[in-house]
Amino acid sequence: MNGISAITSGDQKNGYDLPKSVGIIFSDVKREYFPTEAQYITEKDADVDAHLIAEYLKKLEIKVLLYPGNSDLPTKLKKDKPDMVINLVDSLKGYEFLSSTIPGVLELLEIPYTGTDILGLSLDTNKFVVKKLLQQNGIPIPNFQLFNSATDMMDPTLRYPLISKLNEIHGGVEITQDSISENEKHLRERLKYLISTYHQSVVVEEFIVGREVTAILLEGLNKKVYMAEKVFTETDRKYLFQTFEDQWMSKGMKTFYYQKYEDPLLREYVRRAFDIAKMMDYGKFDVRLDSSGRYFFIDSNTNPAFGPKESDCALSYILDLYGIDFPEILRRLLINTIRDAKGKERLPVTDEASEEI
Amino acid sequence: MKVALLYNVRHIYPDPNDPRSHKEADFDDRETIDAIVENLKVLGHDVLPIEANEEAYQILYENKNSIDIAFNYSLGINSKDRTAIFPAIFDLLKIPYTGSGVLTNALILNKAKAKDVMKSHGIPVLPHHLFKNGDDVKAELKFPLIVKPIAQGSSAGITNDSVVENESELRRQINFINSTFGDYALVETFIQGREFSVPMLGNPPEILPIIESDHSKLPKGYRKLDSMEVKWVFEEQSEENNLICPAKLDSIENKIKNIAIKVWDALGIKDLCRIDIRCDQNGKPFVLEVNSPPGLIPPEVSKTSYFPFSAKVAGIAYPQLLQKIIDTAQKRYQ
Repeated sequence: MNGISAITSGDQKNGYDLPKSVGIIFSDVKREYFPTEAQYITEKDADVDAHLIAEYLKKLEIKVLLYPGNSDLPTKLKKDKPDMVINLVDSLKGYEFLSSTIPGVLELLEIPYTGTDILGLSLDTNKFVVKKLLQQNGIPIPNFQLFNSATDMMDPTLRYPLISKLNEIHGGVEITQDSISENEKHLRERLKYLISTYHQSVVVEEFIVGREVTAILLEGLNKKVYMAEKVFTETDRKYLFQTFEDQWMSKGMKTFYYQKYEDPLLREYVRRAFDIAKMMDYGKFDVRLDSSGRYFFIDSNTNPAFGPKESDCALSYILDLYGIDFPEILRRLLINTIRDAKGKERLPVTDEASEEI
Repeated sequence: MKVALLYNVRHIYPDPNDPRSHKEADFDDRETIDAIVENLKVLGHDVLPIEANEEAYQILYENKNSIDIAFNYSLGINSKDRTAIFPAIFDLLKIPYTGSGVLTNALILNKAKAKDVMKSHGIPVLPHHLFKNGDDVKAELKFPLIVKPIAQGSSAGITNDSVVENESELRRQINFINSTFGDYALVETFIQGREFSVPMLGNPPEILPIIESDHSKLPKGYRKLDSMEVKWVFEEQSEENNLICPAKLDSIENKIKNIAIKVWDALGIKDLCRIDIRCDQNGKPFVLEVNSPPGLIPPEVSKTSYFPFSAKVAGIAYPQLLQKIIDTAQKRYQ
């Protein structure tokens, strides 16, 4: 039995209080909020996923209040005053950068919440700044450049192949085989398309040919890292990586599977990166390995999809490899959020499968 | 034009010896807010003053369609990212506002993260350590050091005692910061050269006359830094002003201006800010911190509020300064 599942109802009597009422705030999604169908797809099931989590909370005999993240939210929260809130919001009115409004409102109303704060979430929607912070603090990342227009001068030290990513949008939006450029003509065309469609800057970075690892960090009193390699099955592709289509359009036809990955060095990098990116409670990183075995952090997500395995999210899949299931993660998150709010020390995240700090 | 003025008022006057007052040191007196409202009214604006507290959201929500612009002078409450709360709410309610956005204000309030970002852009900042508890001090450190709260403005938490000469003083001061603010103490080398404040206004920014704090004018017993004692006791009570504006810069002027512009770009600042820069004994400048929003106390209340003081030297009267800030912000929304 691992440490998380050791928190039973009996432990609650010993002081591990669970909240009586929990609000779940989820993205209020309408197609017209999003510039493209692709971006809409990443969020369209937000209410379904919130209801899934609600069912788990109800099993813990917790009163659940569901809130779409919109401008009516502060008024409703002020009226209901839930003991705490699970913040699942990725965007408001289709804008990911507005997601930091949610912790802003919750702090103003002094309602405890899961996940990171205003700074953490606003950093999360500016990949360029996070890359700068990681680089500054010695976390290995590929060489990169921010393009505000398709005609910006190009850094001559960047080496092809290059991959173009939207600076403020997560969820793999516009990550396709066409994201890879092997020459400047293609890159400029790609930049023109992305900037004119999404009206935001684009991060261009060197594409690291090699393997890919996803790391999940759970934070309690300590920080536990769980890692899995994405093993790609469609090896006839020129460049092996998870595309938007792989992530959102091919349910049941997975182009990769996860297998446990262990390396103390990477685990230490992940712990450091978690603090640098100002993550809290949980976070996710994607890391590439080149042919020499060098690591390159290519993506960090402060607010990754959080839910049970049936919601098809990486967090639950990877933790499942380590024998930790969603109710255990959820229960620990609730207890620690309440303990934090009361100024009590958090409970550690422990299990037998991964190395202690 | 209907202008919503978002503000916070203090309930205790800043007193270096009263830890409770440190928490409100960057808030304003009621008299200051009233004077800002009057100045906005003189400009012909219909002013809606809103205290930036738990009730503010509802007032903004109910008035969102009639507010032309929010003059964001709020510092926020209940949060380590408090200066970012109201920009986030304005964004949500689609109310145009003055000053920087959520990420910029949140970064600036977290001095350690802001320094990391600045450093990554090649801007000179001092190396620092973060400590939550005095007992955590293990590294070999070179004294003198200065101990600051990681996320406060207006010299809150910075007193004569903030400069420490040995490990025991360092531990004491870290514990003071933690018990007063419940947050990390940022510890960096205490450099003892000239200190400048650089007010910036506009998009792209115009650098207003640079202010130098002339520490030689400080009475005996005052440390040579902009501490609470200096800002809230000496500058307010003394008839002699220790501020030189415009500062006599000579060869260092371009260097300081270039640094300020780099900071503005690296942090994504909008409309206005004030940057504190200090030199080491060799005259090399380092960015200490950025103030966003900067203090804007009207001259009828204080003659030493840096930003209005510098604006006056540039020939910009206080009401015109407020109007320039509004105009600058409005242009971004057109």
